[in-house]
Amino acid sequence: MKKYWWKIACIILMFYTVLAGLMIPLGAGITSVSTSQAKILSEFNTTIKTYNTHFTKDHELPWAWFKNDSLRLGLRAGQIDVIDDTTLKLTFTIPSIKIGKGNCIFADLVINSEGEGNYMENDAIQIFNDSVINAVDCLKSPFIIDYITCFGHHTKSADHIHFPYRAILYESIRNLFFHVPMWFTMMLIISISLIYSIKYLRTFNLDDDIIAVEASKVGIFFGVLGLITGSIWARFTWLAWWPSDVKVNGAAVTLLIYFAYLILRNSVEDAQKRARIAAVYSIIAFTMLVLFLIIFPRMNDSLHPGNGGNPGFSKYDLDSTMRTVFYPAVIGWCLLGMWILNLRIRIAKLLNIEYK
Amino acid sequence: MLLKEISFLVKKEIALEIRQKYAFGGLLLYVISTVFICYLSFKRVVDPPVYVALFWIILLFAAVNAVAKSFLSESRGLQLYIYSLASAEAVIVSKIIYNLLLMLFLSLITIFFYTLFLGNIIQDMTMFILSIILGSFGFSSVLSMVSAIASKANHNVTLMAILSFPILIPLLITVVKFSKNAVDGLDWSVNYQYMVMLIGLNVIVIALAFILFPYLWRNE
Repeated sequence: MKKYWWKIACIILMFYTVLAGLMIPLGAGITSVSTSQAKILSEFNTTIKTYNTHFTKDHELPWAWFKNDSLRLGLRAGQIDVIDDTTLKLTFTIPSIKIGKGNCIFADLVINSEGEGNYMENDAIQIFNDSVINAVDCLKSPFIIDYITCFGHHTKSADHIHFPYRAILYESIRNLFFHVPMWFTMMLIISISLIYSIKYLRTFNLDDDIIAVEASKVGIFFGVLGLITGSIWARFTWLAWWPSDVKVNGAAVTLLIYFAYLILRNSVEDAQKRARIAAVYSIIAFTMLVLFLIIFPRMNDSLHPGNGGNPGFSKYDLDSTMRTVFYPAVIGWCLLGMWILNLRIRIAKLLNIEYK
Repeated sequence: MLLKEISFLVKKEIALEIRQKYAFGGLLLYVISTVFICYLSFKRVVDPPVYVALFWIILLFAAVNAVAKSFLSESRGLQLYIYSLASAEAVIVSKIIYNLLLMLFLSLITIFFYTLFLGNIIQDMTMFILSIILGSFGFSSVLSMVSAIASKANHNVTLMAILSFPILIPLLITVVKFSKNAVDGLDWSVNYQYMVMLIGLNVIVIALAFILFPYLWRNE
């Protein structure tokens, strides 16, 4: 039993990844705001649609306010009507705010509902000044409360675990536990292929060659899985099955190189000769992989987070809940890859004995 | 010692090439007729991306054909003979140098006919020639190495294309961007990164060839 601890760990981690990754709900968020242009000194009505909220079941009314961080301004909704679980009708009385004539400011819409904490839509509203009055002390208005008090009263955070609600990503944020670890696994397994190719050239032991070729096959398998999950994710977030992106194209070319590696192997009959040629090509292939997947995306513009000057995924979107699933997912997928590799190597060695 | 071997081997290659003129003549005809087909179908190319892409595609196929024969055309007996005389490093370096000379010659002829038939929209010719030199260097080093691999795998010419095209892509992307900047007449400072990258790629490939070729070369 001691021998199999890592397989047990793999099963547990994979179950955890799939269950936690797919079952934990997304936090509440604002999906749409019906009107976004408000004028000062007038009444402003807007209907907002939210996601994953349950206003009709809540015991208390949600809070809603606009805020502008640079002006340190908070404006509470005068009246809130709950229409259904995910729809709110908000009425604001916009006071005289110190905006230059003809100008506008942007404000974020923040909602705090029972059990869900604060959630907001950035720059949801534009406040215009088309009146003659230029500047009035905004604190006199009954609905204007100080920026800090606004949050001071309502810092109740969500009472259940959830993944962050992010525009563009939405539910597809869960793909992080599948797409990214698949590529990590691919890199790990292809590295094993490289190590055993080098080892073969040093020892000329055919067992090393078997490990190298099986590792490259498993690596290709995970690469294809990564491409498929990435393609689905790209359709949802970047609106194309195959976005024109350095990293995507680089991954495709890398897979082509490894397919060429397999074809090269099949074209040679003699086992020792085949192993030698394949090992040499495998080392070249790995160099290209490093170029395509690591160096090129960082030199050119890329859609991928963490490449081409983009902030990494961890910077804004990877909160503590995501981390508690993401890190086990990485380990689980890597162990799964190792397991598949282990089985394939054993099968290949058995077949090899049969031939002999 | 290594330098002496290399110079002898390069001289041998050149002597062989001069003796069998049909091989080089065939390549020239290949390039010129491709350019002429492009001329007949496009007449004039004025769009810089198309101009550059077409040029490099012509050169890519010419290069694969030209360099493929460097190892593929050698018989097993000749390889055995050279194996007994020279070190593996000398063989690959001499092949790369010889292929570089061949590629330079071929690409300069191509650019001459290309500008003659399809119009000259290149604003910075010096930079364009530099991009051709660096590109030829990359072509010759990558293709010599792949040709060696393919020659060991039953002298398979199809394999040559399958193995070399994906490996040539980083080189092609960089060199196409570089020469497009030359066509647009952009400032040299824009292109330093491409030059550094091309030189870096060449160094990587030559280093790999130098280290790995001896493993291919030993006992057939």
